[in-house]
Amino acid sequence: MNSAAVEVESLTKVYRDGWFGRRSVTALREVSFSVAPGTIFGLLGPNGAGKTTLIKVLLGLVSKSGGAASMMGLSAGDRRGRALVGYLPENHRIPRHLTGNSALTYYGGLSGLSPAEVRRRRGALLEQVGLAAWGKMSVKKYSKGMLQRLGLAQALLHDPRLLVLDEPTDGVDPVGRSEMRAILQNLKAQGKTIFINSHLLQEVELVCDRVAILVGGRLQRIGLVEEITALQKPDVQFTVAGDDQLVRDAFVDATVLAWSSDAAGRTRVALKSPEQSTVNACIDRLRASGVDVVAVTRARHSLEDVFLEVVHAAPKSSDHPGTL
Amino acid sequence: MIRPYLTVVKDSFNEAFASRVLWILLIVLTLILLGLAPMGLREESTTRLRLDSIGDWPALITRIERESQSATPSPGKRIWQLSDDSFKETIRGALESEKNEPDGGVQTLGEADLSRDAASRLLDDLNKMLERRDFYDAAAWSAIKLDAETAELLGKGVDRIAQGDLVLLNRQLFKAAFPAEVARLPDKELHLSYFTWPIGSPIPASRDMAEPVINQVVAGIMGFFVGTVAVFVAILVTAPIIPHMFDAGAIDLLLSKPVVRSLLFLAKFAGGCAFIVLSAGYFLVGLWLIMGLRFGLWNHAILLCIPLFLFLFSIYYSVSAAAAVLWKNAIVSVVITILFWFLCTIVGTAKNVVETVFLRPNAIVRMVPTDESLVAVNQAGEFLDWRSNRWETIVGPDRMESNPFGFGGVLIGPVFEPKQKRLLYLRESMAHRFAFITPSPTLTELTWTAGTWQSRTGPAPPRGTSWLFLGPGGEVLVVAAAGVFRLDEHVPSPSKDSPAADVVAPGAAEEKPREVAEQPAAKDPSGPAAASAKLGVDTIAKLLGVRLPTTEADPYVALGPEARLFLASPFSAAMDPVSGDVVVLGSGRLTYLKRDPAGRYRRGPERDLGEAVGPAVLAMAGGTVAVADRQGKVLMLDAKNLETRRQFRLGGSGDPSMALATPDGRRLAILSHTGNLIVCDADGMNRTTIGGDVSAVALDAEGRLLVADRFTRVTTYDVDLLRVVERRQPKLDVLGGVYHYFIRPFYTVFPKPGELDNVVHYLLTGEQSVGQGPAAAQDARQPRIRIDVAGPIWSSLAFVAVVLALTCVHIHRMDF
Repeated sequence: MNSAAVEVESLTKVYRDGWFGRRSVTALREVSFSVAPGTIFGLLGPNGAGKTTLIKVLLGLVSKSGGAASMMGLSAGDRRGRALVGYLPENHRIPRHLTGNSALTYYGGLSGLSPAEVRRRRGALLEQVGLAAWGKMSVKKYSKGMLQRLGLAQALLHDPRLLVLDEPTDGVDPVGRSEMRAILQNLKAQGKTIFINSHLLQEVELVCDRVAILVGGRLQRIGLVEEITALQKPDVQFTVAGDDQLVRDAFVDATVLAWSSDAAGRTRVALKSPEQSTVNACIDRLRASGVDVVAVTRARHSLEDVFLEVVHAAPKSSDHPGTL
Repeated sequence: MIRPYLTVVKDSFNEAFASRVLWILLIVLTLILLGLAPMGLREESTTRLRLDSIGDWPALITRIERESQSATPSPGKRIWQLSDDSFKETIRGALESEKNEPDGGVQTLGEADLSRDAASRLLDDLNKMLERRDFYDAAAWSAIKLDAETAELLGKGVDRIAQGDLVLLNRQLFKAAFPAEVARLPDKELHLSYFTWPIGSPIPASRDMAEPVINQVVAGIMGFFVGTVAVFVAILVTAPIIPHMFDAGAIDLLLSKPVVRSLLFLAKFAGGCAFIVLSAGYFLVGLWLIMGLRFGLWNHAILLCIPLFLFLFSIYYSVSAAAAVLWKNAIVSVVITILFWFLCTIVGTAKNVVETVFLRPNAIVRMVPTDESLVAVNQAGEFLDWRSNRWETIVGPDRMESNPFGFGGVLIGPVFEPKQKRLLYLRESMAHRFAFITPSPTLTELTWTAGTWQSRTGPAPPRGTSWLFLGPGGEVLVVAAAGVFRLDEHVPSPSKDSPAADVVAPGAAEEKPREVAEQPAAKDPSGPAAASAKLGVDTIAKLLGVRLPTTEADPYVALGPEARLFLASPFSAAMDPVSGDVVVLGSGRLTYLKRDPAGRYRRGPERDLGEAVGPAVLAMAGGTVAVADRQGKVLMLDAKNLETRRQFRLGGSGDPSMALATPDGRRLAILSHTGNLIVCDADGMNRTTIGGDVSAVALDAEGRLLVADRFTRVTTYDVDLLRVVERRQPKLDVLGGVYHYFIRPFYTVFPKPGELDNVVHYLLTGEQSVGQGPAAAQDARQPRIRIDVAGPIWSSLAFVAVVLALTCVHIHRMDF
């Protein structure tokens, strides 16, 4: 049995449309990665990157065109595998005739739980997602955030080993997001594996152990958050005091992001990911010109910075999947 | 694991309950049930006479008038004594008018003199008499045999019994005095009411007799409100269920659960039927309770119709669901479902129109082997002769008297008389079934002369003639209300106002002037009393335009029995082809008529089989009498004592139309209206069923079985081995080819939701055929349209299975 909670190997998906499938769109191209059990994994990517398609392949909603995918050691789409997964789809629709309680009974039943079992579990679960007072209310009256919380509750109802969340904080207010982060950390502490699909990078950065960046159906980056951000050289900021022309001459070889001066006559110069030799040369020239070097600081890249960098750097695909 | 799918079905019920449309429909159905609930049925003893209580007005008024002239006290004389002048005047007027009628006229009393209004006036007077305490006169009824109930009431004393009992007693006395004239007077009548208000006049029927009619009305109500309205509303309401299931965000959630796609779809499909289960279940349970509590008819088949209507809906819903999966749009689903509904209707209608208008009229309903050929009669009334491998028309269809749609009169015969090489048959006129006073059937003779068939009309047979046989000596016998009559060798010519005789060459009909001969004496010089004394029947030769059993001068010679039968037409009869013995069944009573060496008949053993036996068919040969009743029960009786030797049930629902036995009595063939011919040994063993659309059966001169099926095909079977010996099958014409090779196969495999109404009819009535015309319930020979019960179910079931299977395959291959 495979030890990875999720494993994909050269996964490819081509959607075909039109008569005899003459039109095709490649949603996934040779994607390979694995998710270790007990971790929180974030799959990042712009709209149409193929994130949801990848999840659907794992759950068996979409058939793969090539490669291999498995979940909890079982082939993608295997019914036994799905029994171990809790899934919160993006923009999910819960039938309008249900209440919070009856929705849990319905989805619990679909997961094989008896109504009694659902009744036993739902109180704590609704409490956990902040809907304890709204269980008897029709979902027609639920806000977007409440529906998202209910969706999370149904995904957790049957105590899954793997939780797949597609844009889980979509429509949830900041307090709710904070609560959701706490829930996810708690679940991780319980040994659950969590697979998050999101384009809210700060949220992912805050909770995920590992992330992958998918652009145009290709996997561009994968690793720990620190590793991803560390791959990008940090920017360097100089704070100097001296003649403005001398300062400018000292940075003639470097890529300057920004110049600024304060009231005290100090100048701040930001360099774009300079090599250490460039930094040293700049310092040498400043010192040689008699310019005071007040401070030299390195600024760490955020995940968003890396993400944007990767997205912009990625080659444009001719058959971009659009909103898939 | 089944729990996920049960959850889906259960949720569908929750969804249905959450639907406002369901509640609106339930409210509408409740209002309908509340509207029906006050209706009730009460069965009471019949007290008053009705217009149709008198089966033979001419005989009644003649007898009253005749008995009034007699010095001996009699019921007729008593009625005359109690009647007022207008009553007497009406009777005298009718009789006087008849005396002035030109000789040979065949007009009926009802048409000529005794109008419906006049009869109603006589009836009112009779009903007033029945309320009188002095109606009964011991001397007048001294010669009348009374039943136990009447005797008991009389024993209480006419002056002491309540008025209701008095009317009942007088009615019973009247019935006992005039058994032939009021032979079909039911003892019970039904009163239909709404709350406490009576609706219309009492219905002259018992609850048992009315039950089939009530069940047909209930079937109609169910068919409209559930089979049409509720199903249509359900199609509209449930159309969005499947498209909503496939909405983005909904289907992902469902398919992420450990479920099988196809089963999830099927569960959703089953859940979609919740709407119709709730609405149909509610309405039909309500209807069942109303029928039970208000009408006293606890017909549990009404409840069986709930799954049937569910099945009907599932046919349409399978199309709706398939369209929903393909297009994921509720409006498209509804439009396609309605188009499918229309298509089913068009296919069914096309098939029915072709069958009813073009093919069924050609179906052979009678066959009679002649010495040279085989003559057949089709449903349109055409006489056909098998020559040169095709059916050639002897006599064209008579549009007025034939019954292509089943509304005409019954064809009696034909029989082939080899001595004179002539075919004889009787046909009741269209008017026969609707007339206020029923005329006699018309006798027609077809003679093979010089290579052509000549047709001419014979003398009207005795009143109530229902059967025509060829006796063992080759003589032509008719069985009428009073008994058995023999047609004299010379068949008199038609009356002058009867239809022209036809001379028809095979295949090319042409008319020639009819021959006119003297009508035999219509007036009996010896008078009715003499005739009565001679034949034991109280009648005159030609009374008021209606031919009655008469004297030896009549072409129909009475052969007995002397003790009059009082058979109410129609009745069943059969003749042993060897001995010539006849057995008749009328009003549930089986009577054996033994033929003596002189050819006269006397009463033999009798047996009461009860009214429930219905319009049974009889066959007799080899000392065995077979009685097959409407329910399919076959009694094999010993001809000597009419005791049951053996009984068995026919397959299916029974519904026999014809029975015959081989002359040696070893083999029996019973044809049902459903088109099944069952051939078995006399003890019911070695049973074989032939075909499914057999329309006629006969025996040829060699004792082989002639079986007509596929409308015009006749197959000769060896009667013992049922091996095909010969087949007469005309070449298919274009329409027949289109029907057999295109319409029928297509119709067979096509779903038939519209025909499930027939299944409802079958469930409620237990009948696999529908009677055509007013007399169908009484006469087994009257054409009935076969109801295919299993066919629509199987074809529709197969259709639903195929549509759902293809949809499941498609869903399995879909990406979501």
